[in-house]
Amino acid sequence: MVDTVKSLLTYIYSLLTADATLITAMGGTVRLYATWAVTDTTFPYIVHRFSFRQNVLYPERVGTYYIDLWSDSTNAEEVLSIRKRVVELLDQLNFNTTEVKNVRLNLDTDGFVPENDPEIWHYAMQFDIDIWRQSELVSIINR
Amino acid sequence: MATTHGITSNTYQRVLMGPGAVYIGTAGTKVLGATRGGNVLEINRTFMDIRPDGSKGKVKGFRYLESAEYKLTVRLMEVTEQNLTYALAGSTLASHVISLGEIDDDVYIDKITIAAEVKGVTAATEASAVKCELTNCLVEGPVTINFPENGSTEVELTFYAHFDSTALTTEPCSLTFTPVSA
Repeated sequence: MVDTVKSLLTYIYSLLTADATLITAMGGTVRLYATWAVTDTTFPYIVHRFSFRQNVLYPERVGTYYIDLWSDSTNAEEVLSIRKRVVELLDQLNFNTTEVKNVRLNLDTDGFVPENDPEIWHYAMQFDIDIWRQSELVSIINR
Repeated sequence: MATTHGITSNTYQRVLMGPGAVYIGTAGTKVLGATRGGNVLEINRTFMDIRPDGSKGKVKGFRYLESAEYKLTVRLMEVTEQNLTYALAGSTLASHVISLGEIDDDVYIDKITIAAEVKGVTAATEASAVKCELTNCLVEGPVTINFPENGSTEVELTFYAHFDSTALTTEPCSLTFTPVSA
């Protein structure tokens, strides 16, 4: 058993980094980082993270899955190709992991974010996420 | 001590999610269309409440089915000529024109099915789908089509199931849970 958030990050990491179409869109490697990219990382890359809050029942959590796409391509084509595949893979996705059940992703907002460096394309996406934190629930009801 | 509640480690496998899909026809494979605002299934069965002298309340063995009504309310986004033909019971569709008419036996819709999914099911014994079938259906109630200044519209259809006159004790409604193992 691993932490709930680690379980979610791992699932999505495995999904995105193994996808052949996304690999092609990103020039051969899906560089996907949690919260922060490593310094001077190679473009293009993706950063993702979660935030959660309480729902009606305590095992249910709702929140936001943030995914930011970064590209230094000469035009927006690359980052939009990445966006296209991310939407195809994640929007309306339902999945379970050992630790988390009934995970549902729903694309909420997305759009370009102007950066100080005009040669950088930054595309930010936010998905609504609902989860049932199963392994934490089992620990809570058995303690 | 934790608060008393009904949550168990299996709860997540028993949560019905989403509006479900509505199918029309005997085969149960033709989707009626996309909906918005959810669908509502209502089964309202009432029982006679016979109270012999001396009883102080409802008495076991003295309850009999008095009436039963089954209805499914669907808010259809897909406002097609065919769906409006269903909405206007007794109407017929020819050359894109809907003509209103009387309620003949062949107007009744053989079967309306709503199927919904139970998410997260992993145990073979647990149900991963729930299906409700209503038979001999008619749409009743006003057909109201709003034409908003901005945005799209939905049409609300309420399908009522009907007993078959040749089988008055068979209720025109069934609920089926499908286990993963099925």
